[in-house]
Formats: sequence, structure tokens, C-alpha cells
Amino acid sequence: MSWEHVINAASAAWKIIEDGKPSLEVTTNNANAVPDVSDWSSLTDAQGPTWIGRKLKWTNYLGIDVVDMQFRVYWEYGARYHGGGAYIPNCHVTVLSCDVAWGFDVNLNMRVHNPTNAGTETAPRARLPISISGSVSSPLTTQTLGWEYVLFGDGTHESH
Amino acid sequence: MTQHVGHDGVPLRHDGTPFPPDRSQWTDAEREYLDTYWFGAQEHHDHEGDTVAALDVPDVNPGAMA
Repeated sequence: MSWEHVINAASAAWKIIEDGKPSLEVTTNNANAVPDVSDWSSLTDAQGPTWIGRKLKWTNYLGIDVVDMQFRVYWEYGARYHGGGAYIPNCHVTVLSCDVAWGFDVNLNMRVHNPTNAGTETAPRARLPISISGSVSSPLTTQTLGWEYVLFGDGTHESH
Repeated sequence: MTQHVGHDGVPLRHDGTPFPPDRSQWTDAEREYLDTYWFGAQEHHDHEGDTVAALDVPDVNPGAMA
């Protein structure tokens, strides 16, 4: 155990949208990227949250929005351990809207991968990769959805 | 075939009754219409993101109080 090793001491996977409705799991699950020490909860100076997200809409040929949803991934950043490092004490997902019309279905899941240290041994910078995947389906087709992000403890992010 | 959409979002048949969810209960003409106009949909995606300046990352000081 040491502060240069970064771990996720919370959840690793949960449902965001299930059967076309926001999952209750988004209200009870979160992830983090914190030092591998027993007193990680004593992190200080967290900032944010900052966020990334997606707005997705499917419009049919009658002009009706048959799928209209918006979600965001929020994370707090810049948390210090003994005055240094930049950790992520909390990362969670919020569904801002989710309207799914008759005959359509939406499922969306959050997967949190193992965090790592993108900084140095003395100044750790948490790196937290996440995957959001799922599908939009109708009786005719199923479209796979998927996005990869990397969240950093200094407040930045990458999209892949 | 679909003249209206009910208040609950279910498309209505020409006679004003809601379509049953079971496709086998649709006529061929109804199926063709729904597959083309109701289930045929175009997708729009927007990426959103907050942007913050990267923080400096100071060294951990083991002697400091957390």
C-alpha cells in the first residue's frame, strides 16, 4: 500500500439505463481513483465536479423523437493526499433525460477499468478509464452504442 | 395507417385504437407502414463536455497533515 498506487475503492460497473428507463443503480453507485492507503478518505482540496456527456436522439420519419436521452459523467478532481497528488475521490453518472417511444428499447451500462498513476511516484496523477456501452433497439434493428473515456485527476479527460 | 399517436405515446390505427405490441396482430400494410415510418429513424449524436484547465500536481509530503 502506498500513495503512488491508485485504486478504485468503490464500484466497477453499473447500469445507467435499463429497459428504456434510468436505472436506480445510478443513484447508488460511484467510482473513484484514490491512493492505495488506509486513510484515502482523508483526501483534501477536491475540486469540481467537471463533466463529460452525450445527447442522443433518434427521430422517425413521422417527425417524432422516438429516443431522446442525455447523460453526463461527473467527476471531482484535484484531491490531495498529504498536500500532493491529484486524485479522483468521486465519479458518478447522471441521466438528465430519457424518453423512449413505443416499440423501442434502450440499455446503457457503465464500466470502470482499473485506475493507474499517470504522474510520478512523488506527484501521482490519477488516470481513470471508463467505458459506456449499450444499445438502442427496435423490432427491426439493434444499434450498438459505445464510448471510451479517460478521466484524469487534474481535471482533464480524453475521448476515444 | 397511423393517423395519430395516443396520449401514452402508442401509435393509433386508422380506427383510433392503439396498435397491439404483437407484430403478428398487424396487417401486412400496417407492418410495412410502421416499419418504414415509425421504426425507421435517423440518429443524432452530440458530445458535450466541460473544459477545465489542468491543475498542477504537487508532490505528496508524507510529513504533512492530510
